[in-house]
Amino acid sequence: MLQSQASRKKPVVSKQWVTIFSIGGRRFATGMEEVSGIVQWPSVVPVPSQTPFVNAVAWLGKDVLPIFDLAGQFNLTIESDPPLCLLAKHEDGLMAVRIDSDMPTLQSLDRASIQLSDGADPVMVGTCTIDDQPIDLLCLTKLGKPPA
Amino acid sequence: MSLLARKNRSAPPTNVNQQLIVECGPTRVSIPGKGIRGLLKTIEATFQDTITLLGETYEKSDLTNRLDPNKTVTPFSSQGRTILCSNGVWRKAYAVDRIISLLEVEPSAIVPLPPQFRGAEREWFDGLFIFEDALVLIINLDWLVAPTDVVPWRSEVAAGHGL
Repeated sequence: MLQSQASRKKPVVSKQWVTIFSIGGRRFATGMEEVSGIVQWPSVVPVPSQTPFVNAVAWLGKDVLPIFDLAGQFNLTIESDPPLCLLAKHEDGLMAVRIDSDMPTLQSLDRASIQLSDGADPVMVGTCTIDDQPIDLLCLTKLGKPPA
Repeated sequence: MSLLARKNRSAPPTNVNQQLIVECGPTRVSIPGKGIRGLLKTIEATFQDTITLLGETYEKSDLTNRLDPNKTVTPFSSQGRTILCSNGVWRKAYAVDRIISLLEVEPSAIVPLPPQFRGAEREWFDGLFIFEDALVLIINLDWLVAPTDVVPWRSEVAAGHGL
């Protein structure tokens, strides 16, 4: 029996590209579109601050970038030297995040493999499985936003 | 050599403001020159709670400690200075670790504190500028000299509608 045109179509698999990076040896994933770039860790200036995990700025070109201490939020310590700087597209403007010296990688994920969380935490949006290991999926545009 | 330097000497200043750059622990901050009434060695005023100059009394405080309650200026340092500050209404004297420079900064060279800073620091600082390849935070003079127990003014209270 001849198959109809529609039944011969491959099932549509929705893919998402994610950036995999590590902090203190722990791997995280984030949407590729949320990362503006990866650069060498710049010199930073501490800023007395009461904003949690935002207590320094870096000067990159003409831009003054606030630094988000993601390692501090997850109680991780970056020991690799020199660290790298991930430029996150935060909703209020670019933010710098200190990450391990291992260069981040890009990976394509089947959207169906992403397990979304309950939405209470705007930053920890879910988990995905890479190399048979669960990895937290972060929303970098919402860094610093407290859970509801 | 004069302590006063001018950033970007190529163009005549149009609307410059002087900033006294000081070191407080690991941070460099600047105090607007218009608010500075005097400068003395901290070691000369170590055992005084207040400093009186030209009939005006300045309550002593520690700028490093004001910005971070877990830190203080280095005690008994020969480089330590105490800066007498006023905004015309309030007065305070602040000990700092070191004076770096007195500088004229054009307003166009000043960038605001990034919006990701959401806490009280938005009141503490008026912006940043670059000096000697490093960023300097500009202290808000009114916050610097205001008594720490002052309740923020609210229009509804003044109009008799509040409290």
